[in-house]
Order: sequence, then structure tokens, then C-alpha cells
Amino acid sequence: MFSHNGKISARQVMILLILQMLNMNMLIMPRIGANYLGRNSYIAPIIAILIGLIYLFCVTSLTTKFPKSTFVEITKELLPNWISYILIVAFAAKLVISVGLELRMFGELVNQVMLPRTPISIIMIVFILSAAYLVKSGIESTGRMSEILIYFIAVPLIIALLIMIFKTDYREVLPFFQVDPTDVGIGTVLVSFMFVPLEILLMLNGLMKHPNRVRKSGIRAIIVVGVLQAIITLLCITQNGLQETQTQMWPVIVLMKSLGMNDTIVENQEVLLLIMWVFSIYMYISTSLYIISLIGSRSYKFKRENVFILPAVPIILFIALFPNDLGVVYSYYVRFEYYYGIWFIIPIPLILVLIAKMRRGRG
Amino acid sequence: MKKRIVYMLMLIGTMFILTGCWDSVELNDRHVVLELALDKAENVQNKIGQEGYYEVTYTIPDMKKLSGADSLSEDVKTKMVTVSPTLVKSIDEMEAKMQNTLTFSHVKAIVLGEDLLKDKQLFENIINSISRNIDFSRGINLLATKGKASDITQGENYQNPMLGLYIMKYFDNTEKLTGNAKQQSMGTMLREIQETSITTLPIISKTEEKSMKIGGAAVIKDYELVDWLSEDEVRGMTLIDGKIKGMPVVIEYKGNYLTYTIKEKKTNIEFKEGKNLETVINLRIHGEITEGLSAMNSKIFDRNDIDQITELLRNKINEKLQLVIEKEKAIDVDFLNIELALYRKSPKLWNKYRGQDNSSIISNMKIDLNTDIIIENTGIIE
Repeated sequence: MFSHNGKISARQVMILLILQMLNMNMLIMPRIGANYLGRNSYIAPIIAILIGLIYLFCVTSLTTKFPKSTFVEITKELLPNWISYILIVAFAAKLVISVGLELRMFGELVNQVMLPRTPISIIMIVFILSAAYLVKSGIESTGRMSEILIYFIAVPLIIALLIMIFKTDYREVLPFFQVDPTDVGIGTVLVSFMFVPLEILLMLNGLMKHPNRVRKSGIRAIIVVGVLQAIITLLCITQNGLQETQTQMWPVIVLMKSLGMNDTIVENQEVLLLIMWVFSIYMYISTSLYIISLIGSRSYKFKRENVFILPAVPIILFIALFPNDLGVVYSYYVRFEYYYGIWFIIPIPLILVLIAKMRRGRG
Repeated sequence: MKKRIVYMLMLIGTMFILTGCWDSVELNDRHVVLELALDKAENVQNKIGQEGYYEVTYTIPDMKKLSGADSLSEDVKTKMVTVSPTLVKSIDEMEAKMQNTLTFSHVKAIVLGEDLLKDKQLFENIINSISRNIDFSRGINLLATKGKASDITQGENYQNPMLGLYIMKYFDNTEKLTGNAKQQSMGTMLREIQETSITTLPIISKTEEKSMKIGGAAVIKDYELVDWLSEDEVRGMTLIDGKIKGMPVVIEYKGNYLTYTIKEKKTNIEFKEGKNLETVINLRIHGEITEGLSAMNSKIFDRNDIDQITELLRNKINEKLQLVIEKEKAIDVDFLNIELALYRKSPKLWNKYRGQDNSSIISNMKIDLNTDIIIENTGIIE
């Protein structure tokens, strides 16, 4: 237990990473996988674990060289100021846009499934203000909240998955391996984008009590998320069928609707999965909001890390409200992830590692 | 002190705001619809030239009366009917006639009328409408009826006044013997139609004893009713492609009726390439003799008797299987999913024999049966 020293444990980092990766991607990945790998799309998340480990290796290669530093300090040390500020602003902008689009997708989904009469803007404002309130107290409160919420997320999820695992028809996955290897490659790479939130390690690393344990935390988080996504994708194919999984915007929501045990105390058991999902999106948005604020405060060397939380809220809301409708949001979200998702996961960390090695070689 | 008072007032004020939300609806302000009857409306043509509207019969239960409490309402359920071009319009018209709103999140069953099942466009559109509405669960039971669906939902049933609850309990009863009817849910039906364009719906009908019977099936292809299956044909169907739990098989043995109850079965379909494609349905059945032996003087463990009974059972079961296979060939619709089994086992073979015009291959396929019967026991008395 830490006493207001602004540090988090390796376990808290692992949980934060799991919750970061269980975001809106979880709802749409089965569709992306099914469009490329068909009935065998449950294999994609398993193979994607290997790609996720590559992402982790690229990020932690940089962070382990600078254990007490965040991305801000690392770039300032390795690069000229003007280049480092470009990268820092780009990283912050990337996070702000991701959170904005994620928030909008969340608002649209809640509006469709749970609160049809509530304006989307109200849903988003209330949600982001709640998230901002959590992180204003610093990373420790966020870490502790994640440790509590993981049980509220894991238990309903396990119950719901167990109900579905025992009643689904596994013949739907036959025949095996009728897929073009090129499609397997492309599909797996696209599915591996669910591990892009590992980029927050670039900032979280500087806040860890034991930075040398970051790889272990990352590996565990990647395996948990990969296996979970594989199970969810398998259940989407077996319960919904291939065509529904390929054509539905949110195949996991359709999967939730097929979950149901009549004549029980809680009849519509999809509420279990919805609870889990709302909590995980909450943690994603609150952690990302904190990271954005941390980038700003470390850039300007403020003592307090929560200075930029409230200023970031209207910017995120503006981005969230900018697209006209769900179709536009979805397309922006998918394209943004495809084109900008991996910049801070592979190329930039590796370039910085190379520069660090060259500078150490010269020195 | 002043600060404390301000904070307390803010806290109390927040509590008042948090007790309500935009979407809150009191339970008393909602009608919970437990079942729907969908029919094709007679002699109505809509503006776009589509023949027929939907006649949607809503059965609105009075929850207080259902639970045994006093209520202002006269009957335990009220029937309301709308004739509309679409389901959403129907719901809108319904809500214009009532003080409460409708909620469909607890719909247990939807009964589809014969005329609607025969109209491909109407049937497809209504299924599409229901599947798009997030309120409707994918686990809703779908049933067909010969005649009008509204006659069924409004019919008398001494066991349960609410048909939706009756159907839910019928299919959820894990003790019940199965084999008469194959349960169909919305999600499974959609999956089957999207995969093979073929599905079956159990038939529900009224009995003379003021009860509801579920047995037989309607065969649907491309969202259109093809034919009806009898209960015996459905038993054969579930032996090949379905779940069995406690199906009785009655044979005559030495002048007495003897009942063998099937407890479980395993089906394996094999395909051989000879001159043409040949199919072998391997069926391994486990069960027990539940009645008939005590009327005979034979000893229960006499091997000859058991062998003879096994042979008679094999013939009887093969009869049921042949009946349903002949039906499948006669209507040329593969509701037994033999082609699907071929595709799953060997997609290359399926591609080879599939006609260039995607025609079915079962009508010319030779189908052999290999049934293995295991009598686990003969009951607790001799």
C-alpha cells in the first residue's frame, strides 16, 4: 500500500493495461476477424498475442533504458527540444483523438442499447466528468479503482462466458482452415491493434515503483486479453453464426442478447456483460485522461499532475461530438486506428532506442 | 460552519438529481408483452404495392392479476390488434391506444401464422424488423401454426393463461421427454437461414381439452413455408440432427407392447465416394426398457430376448429415420442438414457434387442407416 507517493505497483499496471485493452475494440474485433478469417477468426487473437509481445518488446526496450522517466523526459533527453515537443504533442493528440472517438462510440452504444431517450451529449458529459473526477486525485486512486473494478468486471464476464460456453453449438467452426494465408496475415495484424493501448507504458513506466517488472505485467495483460478476445470471437461465431458476426456492427452486443436464462431471478443476463463493459470503458477513458494530463504537466514541469484534466475534457468532447452519426464515427475510429495506431508502439520507440544506443556508444 | 451547511445542501441536492434520469420509466407505466401473434392481414394492400399488411395481436397481461393480487382490470390478459405495414408502425399505433408504453424485453414467444409463413417478403421483413429491435432477445421462442396465430394466443389454456409463459416453461423444463418438437429460437433461426437458407419451426396447436400442444414442424426455405412435418417425422429429424432426452419407442414383442426410452444418442454422418456420393448415418442410441417386460414370462437377462428386442427396436427406429429421409427427398429441402454436414466434413467433396446452379444434392444421394441400439437396463423390477 503506497502513501501518496504517486507510484503504482506492477499488479496495478497489469490491471490497468487489461482494462485499457478491453475497450470498444472488444466489441468490433470479432467482426474484423470474421471478415478476414471467416469461421476460424478465433485463431487471430491467439496469433495476435505474438504480435502483441512484439509491441511490448518495442515499448519496453525504450522504457527499461530510462526506468524513472516518462516519454516526455526520454524524448527531451534524446532529441532536440523542437523534435521532442512535436513527438510529445503528437502523442497527446493521438490519445485525445482516440479517447474522443472511443467516448462517442460508447455514447452511441449506450444510447442504442440502454438509454434511447437520453441525448448522447449528456451521456458523454456525465461519463467523462466522472472519469475526470477519478483521476484528479492522481495515478494511485486510478490504480486502486482498477484493482476494485477488475472483480466487478471479471466475475460477471466469467459467469456470462460460462453460460454461453456450455450451450453453444461448436459445429459452427467447421470446416477448419479454409482461409487464404494472406487473409490470415492481414486479419491477425488488424486484430493485433487491440494491443495498441500498450503505448501508455511509455508514460506509466515513470510512475511504477518497480519499473523492472513492467515486461512481466505487460506479458500477463497481453495473454489475458488475447485469450479473452479469442473466446469472445469463438462464441460470436458459434452463437450468432458467421454472417451475423460479419455484418453486425456490434456482434458482441448481439451475442449478449442471445444470452438468457428464462424463469430466473435475472432474466436478461446481458446486463452482466454490459456492466462489465461500461466499467472497462470507464477505466479506459479515465486512465487515458490521466495520461494526457500527465504529458502536459511533465512537459511544463508542473508539480501537480492533474492540471490538464479539466482543460482536456472540452477538447475530447468536441472531438466526440464532431462526427455526424454512428457510421462516420465508426469509419473514423477504424481508420484512425489503422493509420496512426502503431506509431507509438513500434517505429517511434525503436527509433528512440536506436538513438539512445548511438548516444551511449559515442559517450 | 457556513461551509459545512453549503456542502450539506449540495450533497442533498445531488441526491435529488441522481434519483431520476432521462430514460427512467416506472414499472407501472409499462405493459410487459409476453407473447406476440403475427399474421398476414387479409385483403389489405399497402401504398408501395406490397401485398398485405401485418396483423399483430398483442396480449397484454395484467401483472397484478397474474400474481394473484387485486386489480382494476377485468381479465388477466387483454387482446389488442393492429393492422400495419411494419412492426414499428404497429407499436406506434398500439401505444396511441393505451396509457402505458410497451416493453418487449420479456417476450417469451412469437407465434407465426400460416399465411404469413407462405408470404416470403412479409416473413423476411418481419424477421428483419424483430432482429433489428434491440429489445427483442435472440432467445425468443419462435413457433408456427396452421391457421391464424391470433387464434392460438387467444385460445383457452387451462394450464397457463399466458401462452408465452406456457411455451417458455414447456421448453425450459429439463425433465420433459423430448422428440415431438425441436425448439427454435430467434438467434438460431437467423443463423440457420443465413447459413443454409433452411430452418424449421415447431408447430403449436389447440387441443380439445383446452390445452396447447407443441409437436411437428414447419419447414422453411428462403423465408417461405415449404411443407409441414408430422410428429413422427420430427422424431426422425431429432434422431439425426437434434437433441434427444427421453424419447419413447414402442414395439410389439410376444403379443405385448414394450417401451424403450431413448436417453441419449450420438449421430455421425459419413460420406463415401462411389459411383455417386453415398451417405451413411451412424446412430448409436442408449436407452432402457421402461415398460412391458413384466407382462411376459421371460427372464430379463435372457440374451436371446434382448437380441430380438434390439432387432425390433432397430427396425422401428430405422422406420422413423426412413420416413423423414423420404420426406426430405420428396420436398427436396435438406432440413436434416446432411449437406451442411458434408460441407463441414469435406468442403472439397461438397463443392464437387454441388450442382453448377447450386441445386441440392440430397435428392439423388443414397442414404444408408447404421443404427446401434444399447439397452442399458430393463428397469428395477423383473
